[in-house]
Amino acid sequence: MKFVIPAVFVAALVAAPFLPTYYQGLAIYACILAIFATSANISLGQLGLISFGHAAFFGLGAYAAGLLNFYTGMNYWLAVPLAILPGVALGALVGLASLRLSGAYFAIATLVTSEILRLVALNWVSFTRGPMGVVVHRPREKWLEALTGRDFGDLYLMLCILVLALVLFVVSRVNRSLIGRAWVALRDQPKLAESVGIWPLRYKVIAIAMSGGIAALAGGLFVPRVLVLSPDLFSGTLSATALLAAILGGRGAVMGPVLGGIVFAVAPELLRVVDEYRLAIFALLLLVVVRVRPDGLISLLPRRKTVHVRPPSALVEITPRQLPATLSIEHLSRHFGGLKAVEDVSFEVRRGEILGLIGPNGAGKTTCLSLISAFLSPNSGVVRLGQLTLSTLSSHQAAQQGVVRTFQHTTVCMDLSVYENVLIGTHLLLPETTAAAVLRLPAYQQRECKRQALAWAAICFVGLEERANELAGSLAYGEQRMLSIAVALATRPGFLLLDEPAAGLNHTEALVLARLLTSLREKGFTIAIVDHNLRMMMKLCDRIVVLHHGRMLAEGDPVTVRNTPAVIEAYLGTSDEPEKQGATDA
Amino acid sequence: MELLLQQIANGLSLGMAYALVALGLTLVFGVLHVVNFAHGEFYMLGALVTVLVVKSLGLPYIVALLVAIVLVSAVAWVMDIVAVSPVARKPGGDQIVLVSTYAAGLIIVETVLAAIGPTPIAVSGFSGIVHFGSVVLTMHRVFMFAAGIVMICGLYMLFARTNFGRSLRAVAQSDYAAKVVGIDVERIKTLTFVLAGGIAGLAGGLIAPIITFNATMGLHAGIHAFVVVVIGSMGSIPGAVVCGLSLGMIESVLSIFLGQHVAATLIYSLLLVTLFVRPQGLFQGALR
Amino acid sequence: MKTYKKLVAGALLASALVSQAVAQEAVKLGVIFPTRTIIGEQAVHGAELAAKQINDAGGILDGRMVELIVYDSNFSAVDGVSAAQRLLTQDGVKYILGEISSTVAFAVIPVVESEEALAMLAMPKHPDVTNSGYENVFRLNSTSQIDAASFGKYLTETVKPEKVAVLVQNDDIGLTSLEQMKQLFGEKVVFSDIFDVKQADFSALATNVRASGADLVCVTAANPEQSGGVFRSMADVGYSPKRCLLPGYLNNDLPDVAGAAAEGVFSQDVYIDTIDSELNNTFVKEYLAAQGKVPGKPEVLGFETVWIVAKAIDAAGSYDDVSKVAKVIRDTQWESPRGKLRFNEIGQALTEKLYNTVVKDGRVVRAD
Repeated sequence: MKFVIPAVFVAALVAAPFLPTYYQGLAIYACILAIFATSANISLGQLGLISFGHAAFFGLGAYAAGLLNFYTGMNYWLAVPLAILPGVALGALVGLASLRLSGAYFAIATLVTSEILRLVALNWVSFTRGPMGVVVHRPREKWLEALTGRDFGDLYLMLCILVLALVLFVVSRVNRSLIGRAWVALRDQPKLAESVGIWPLRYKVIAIAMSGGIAALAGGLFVPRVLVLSPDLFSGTLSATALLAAILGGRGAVMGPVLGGIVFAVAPELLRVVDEYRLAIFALLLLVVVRVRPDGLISLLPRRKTVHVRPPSALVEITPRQLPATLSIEHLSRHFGGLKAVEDVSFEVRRGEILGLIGPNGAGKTTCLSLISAFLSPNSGVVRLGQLTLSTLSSHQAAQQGVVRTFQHTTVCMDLSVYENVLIGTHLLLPETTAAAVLRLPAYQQRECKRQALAWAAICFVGLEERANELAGSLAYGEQRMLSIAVALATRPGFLLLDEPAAGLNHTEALVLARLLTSLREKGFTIAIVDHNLRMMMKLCDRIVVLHHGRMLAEGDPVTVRNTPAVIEAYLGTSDEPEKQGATDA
Repeated sequence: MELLLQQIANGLSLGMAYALVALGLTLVFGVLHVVNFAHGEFYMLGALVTVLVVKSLGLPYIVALLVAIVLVSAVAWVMDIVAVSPVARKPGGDQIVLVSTYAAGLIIVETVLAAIGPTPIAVSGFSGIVHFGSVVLTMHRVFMFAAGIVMICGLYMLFARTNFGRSLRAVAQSDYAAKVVGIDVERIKTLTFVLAGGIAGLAGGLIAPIITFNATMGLHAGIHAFVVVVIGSMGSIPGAVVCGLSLGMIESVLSIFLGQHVAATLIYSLLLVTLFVRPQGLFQGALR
Repeated sequence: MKTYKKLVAGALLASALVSQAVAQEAVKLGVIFPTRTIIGEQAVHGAELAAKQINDAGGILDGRMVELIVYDSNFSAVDGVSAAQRLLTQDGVKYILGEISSTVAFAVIPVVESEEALAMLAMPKHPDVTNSGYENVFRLNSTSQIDAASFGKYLTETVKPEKVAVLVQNDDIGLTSLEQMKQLFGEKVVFSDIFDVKQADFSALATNVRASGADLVCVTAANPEQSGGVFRSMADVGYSPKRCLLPGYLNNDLPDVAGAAAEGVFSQDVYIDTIDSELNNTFVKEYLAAQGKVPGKPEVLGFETVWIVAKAIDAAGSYDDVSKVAKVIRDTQWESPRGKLRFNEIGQALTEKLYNTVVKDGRVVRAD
């Protein structure tokens, strides 16, 4: 199965010169649309961001290549790779913008960008020749034609096929690397991504810059087909085509946009037998396909068998990072409108201990956790990690500093396997660049091996090695909670903050969890845990902090705390007013 | 000064046209949380029906408007059943809706082109010229403006005072919560889509005498509508109205100093700036 | 009885088969236009009429019928190139006729050249279309330079305006005409503006033009929706200076769209349906009968593409010898509904003059 696609490309290359001119033309256009749709798919399928203005990059690449050739006389085919750069630059800019915008806003911002570029191309007549456009001469390489005995159309098509293959190769390599994993995490569970230290801005910029560069490449390749640069290269129709081709073919799959590109290039032409109605029929076909196969045409092909991974023979040790001795929370306050969620709370989390954070519902425990891990910023007070002020950082930076949290509601990527989820957690272990991900030199392979080993260690530690290849969404609830812990463990946290890890676990499962956490402490991990299971908490924790209505009621060892009158009153009420709780008896 | 006043008046009428087209789009986004790629086609169909009813059937303009509302609403209903409801329900549906509504819109345009041909068709609405001091406006533009105001007020009453309006606002805020309190969410969504179509159809009918009908007029109206909807906040009716009117006025007044084509670039840049500075738009989302 | 019927059927079938074998292969000509726009549609109708007239008169090359294969280029260079490639390589034609857009023409010409075919272009106006270097390219429409020379003369010598306003659409034709008007009138141009090709509302523009006080307003707009919109808006604000359209764009769709606001708008063009010649009168009559409308320039140019190429093929006596046909085209003085025309050495069609046209009583008529 692995060799089917490369074989198809080789066959296409060999067949290319033998196609009649008309079909060669269609094939060229199909390759270009496939490349263009692939670029749209990076932001769409991988990041989940719809772009209505991908023609901005496409047109930019086309104009860059064409104008370079026109003004400097540079060989056109040399100008094409250079044309990728403006696409990357614009993509990086848009990537920066994407942090503030999402969903429909991002889509419209991209639409507007392409419209502005179109208007600039239209009105900056002295540079771009405006609506008159720039006529580009057919970039024939007569020496190559003589050498190979093939004509322009043949060579052009072969080049397009090669470029498409290269683009797909690069994209699939990046998708299956740390970068691709970061994208998926950002798309499916952005909070999880941040909690394991993935910096959203960096990966969004990489994605959209790459997307822009590839689209610009498609634009540069396109010019010899139409031989004229005109502002139409920025048109909304072109943007729509890329987007729709990606969706139709199947976003998220590497070959999806290729299928979509082929359909969009070829179908309207093949329908020329009914020339008058060809667009109407095309639209109808589109509608039918989308209704019947919303996952795209790629779902018609047999699914590639998922790779089954196996644990290595020898497991590495998971050790926590070496960090300052205490995480100190000082006079932390946070309110939401009139509600004072956390009010003047101060305590410490000491290295090597298990600290419990308990309190009735609405006490502010999760808010506290979010404040400590920088998912929320305090209204007053600070969180310090040694000399470092944690509370001014952003959540992914806090994770980078070794303060890692889990979530109250199960936050795992349901469509990925257990193994893939935990691998996401290894993000911080060793840094990676895009180039390294593509080239896969031995150094990269080594780093990836280390990450994989760490992931396996985490999986085996929580006891999920039997389930490693199953989709996270298919796991039982308790197993999913364990998975969250495994993901957090894979970051080698200095301070592990667990938010209700025992929620929904039965007595036996809770015991297993407690054993796990105890053995983590023996390995040197520091844990702060929020939970309602008081029996477990009392047995497990070295110290306990009690919160109630946002204020701290008590701090100390379990026995002292449970006998503090204020705590008893908070949980059980005074003799006149028994309160109900979901916890077991104190 | 006179010139300025005249341009403000022009701008108000131009802006009302923008607002009318944007209203339906923002409504659909606010309640169904999807973007209808084919929204401009409802507008085009409204103009088409009006033009045909007046020219071929010889009926009065007002009748043509009413027919346009009914027919375009019907088309919207069909589009909802075929291309929106069943698609939006599925996971990732809001993206697929883009494709399905794009395809539906293309089918509509192609059908109209095949049936009517590419010829532009003019129709006259209300004739006559009205003078407000030195400012001159055609009677029809005044009528369109007034009709727009009436419709906006009507919509406001609908949303604020009726059960349907309340249900609609509930669904806009949370599908799930609305279902929990017993609202038939699917039905509300379909009705909203139909309402949006009707509004767009009316807009097309009102505007047809001012510009000329041709089968591709919907495509261009769409972009302006987007600009208005985004700056005015997706899902906000007052936002769409105020921004539509403002946009029209800015365009017209600016044209005194800058060329028409420059105005377009400026407006898009304005949009981009808004998106960066205040992405939720000026009117803060959620239908009121 | 049954046997008799069978015999008759058999005889009929046999004669049908025989006549098929004897019937000659049609002469195929490829036509590309944006068929779903008005002008494209009009041009195609003109081309079809030419084919019909030729076939009714017995065809060419010893009784072979002319067959048109028409594809939609949709104002898109990509579609145009695909259509041309399909015609030349799949449908086996050697003659590409038609097209409106210069952009599409630029893209198509290299394709025509690489297949060693011939292009007879109807309406592109960009001067460089005939400068491609390939000798088998011909263009029927007047170029913007020819227009400027003729119309400019008319405006300065006959119309003699005091203050001129120039409104153009934002494409190469519009911008070129703006430059030409500025060169022509210099200081007298008191107002100019460029509007987007898709613009619909012209109230702001009309207000600004009125404020300029110009007594002549010149508009360059290819679509009657726009030119009509401009004139209507001007009438709406009560402004009625002399108004003209750049040569080549005034046709009967304007009064249809603009109504009374179009009265008095004048222009020049290579063709007007009231030209009194035998050829034109027949043309107008037959076109009216076939389409129910009076023909205008797009129809005539569409007509000419087929008329000239088919007759040239006939005169050259060969379909495949493209160079020979091209030579015939260049060497012949052609008779067309618009008068006499000749092609110069770069393939540009030259006619005697441009006719003055004006809108009167809701129709475009000759203004002399």
